[in-house]
Amino acid sequence: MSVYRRGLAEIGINRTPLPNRSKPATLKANINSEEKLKNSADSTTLSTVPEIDYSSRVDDDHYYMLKSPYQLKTPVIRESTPKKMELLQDEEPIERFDGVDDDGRFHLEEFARPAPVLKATLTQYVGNAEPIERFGGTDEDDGRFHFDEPFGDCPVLLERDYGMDQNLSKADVERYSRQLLVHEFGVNGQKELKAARVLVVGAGGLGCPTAMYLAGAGVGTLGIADFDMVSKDNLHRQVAHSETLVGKLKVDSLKQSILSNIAVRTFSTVLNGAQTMDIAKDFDVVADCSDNAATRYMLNDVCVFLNKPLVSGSALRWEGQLTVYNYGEDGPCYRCLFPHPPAAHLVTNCSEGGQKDCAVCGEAPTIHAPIDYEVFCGSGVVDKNPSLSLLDPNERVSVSEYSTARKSPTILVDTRPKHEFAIASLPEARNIPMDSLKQLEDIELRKLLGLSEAADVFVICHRGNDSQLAVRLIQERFKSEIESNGFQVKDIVGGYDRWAEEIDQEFPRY
Amino acid sequence: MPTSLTLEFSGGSEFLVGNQKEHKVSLPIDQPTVSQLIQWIKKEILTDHNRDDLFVMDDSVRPGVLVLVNECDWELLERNETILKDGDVVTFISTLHGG
Repeated sequence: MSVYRRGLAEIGINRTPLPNRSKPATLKANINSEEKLKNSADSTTLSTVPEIDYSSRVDDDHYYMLKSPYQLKTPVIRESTPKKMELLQDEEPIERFDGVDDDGRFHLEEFARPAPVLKATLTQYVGNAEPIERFGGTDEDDGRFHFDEPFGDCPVLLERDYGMDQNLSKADVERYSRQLLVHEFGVNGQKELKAARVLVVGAGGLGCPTAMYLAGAGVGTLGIADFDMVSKDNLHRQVAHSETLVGKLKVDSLKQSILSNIAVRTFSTVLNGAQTMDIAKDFDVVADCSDNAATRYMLNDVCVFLNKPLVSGSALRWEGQLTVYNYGEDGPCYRCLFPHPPAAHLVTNCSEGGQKDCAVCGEAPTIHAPIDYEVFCGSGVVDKNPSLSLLDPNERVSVSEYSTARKSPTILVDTRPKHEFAIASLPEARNIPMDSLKQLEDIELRKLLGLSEAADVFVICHRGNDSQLAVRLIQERFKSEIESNGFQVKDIVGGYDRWAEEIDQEFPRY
Repeated sequence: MPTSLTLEFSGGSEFLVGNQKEHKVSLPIDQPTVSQLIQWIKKEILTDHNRDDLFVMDDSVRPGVLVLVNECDWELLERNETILKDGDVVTFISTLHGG
């Protein structure tokens, strides 16, 4: 049978200020306790714990380690001192009077102020067959020592015994104090954040700050997915990546910028639907920081199938957009708002679908598992390589062929927008942006192109897509001149980017 | 009686209307619907008709363009049939995909 009882104790601790943290110090503690017995008939021995002297040392943690005075076989009990503490002893003597920690010792943090006084409510378990095992606190569940009062300046801290949430460590509290003090966030917010697992898809302009701020705030687990490598033109906005890691995987680079206390999992492949299902199931929230429609639809569908909220961000030029999809009972998904992908030529019709009709989360969904999103959107997830192949090989020249051709008089048409032309261009290039090429009257365009010069016309752009369209356009509009003057209109494969790569590394790549 | 409206274009759709984000316009229609407004925009203020289809498709806006009437999503109103009043603000936002 156990008797559960509660009493009040005062602990006074006097200490000699530590001249040096590494040197031992002497502490003196008084522990006085008053207790009323529930059943005074059981109270056969009344004892008092008098003043006790004991020493301490500073251990590696910079904590004072105080030996519990109650580790003695028989407690120091003297009848002559004021009867302040009454302990019940049956057959078993009081053997131990544990401190807070499992090692039976009090842990007192270093303090600099003199003579702090603690008031504490103590809980004792007293039993016939059981010795007093614990010297616990007000928390009846864990039987541990908890101080009632916030001690403010009082520096005596008993480790793990301050009513702190079990899920937050002392280090957590110290690190996250500024947001714990925001009462709408507080301990509960921190706890939930620490328990949360967030998958960030895309380690670029959006993914970098998203991952870094989540990590800074103390998210529990961070997943980072990106197949790409860091390039120099990422650095101006993808601020987690450092100059030294250009050419390395973005996931690894971003991971290096993440605070060391956060668990990070990285995924460095081009994600397909099935993989993403497998990865995302271990996360609570998915952050879409990707840069393409195919990935956006894929993440949406996966989040619908797995019933997870999707936080979707996007940014271009001067604008940014942020939306939370698939949140709560009736929150819409991405497909509810955008049933059709943006690539217009693949869109079959424009039925006015509301949320009820959504193909993935509606009342009668037609999509039950991830699909091929590149086919669905008509565009890929990798945006780097030119994919257009419009012209015959004999209508195209390589950069090296052009570097030879330009030694003779040629006409070089540069179809890039004016602001790109202003970055850098070949000296012979004449800038006729695509828009002008389409809109100008024949007579003006002929003048700009200089077709009367009867030299071959070469067309260049940034990466070699627009230049092909331009070649076709010029050929169609000036068919008769081309035939009668006998010159050719050719596209420079790979554009300035390839020029910079293969011919002149001084040409800036952007 | 003509209807005065403020039109806002963003998310890239402003490039289709002379790179100007806000347009104060007067429609020669009494209480036009959004559908009528879209047709009017197509005729009167889309500057690059080669790229009409980046904004208009099948008598409505292209997929991926959000439409707000007085800051309220038109999905919550009557979509194309929403009736506009003098002084209303209609916003067209192209969705972005950059990351």
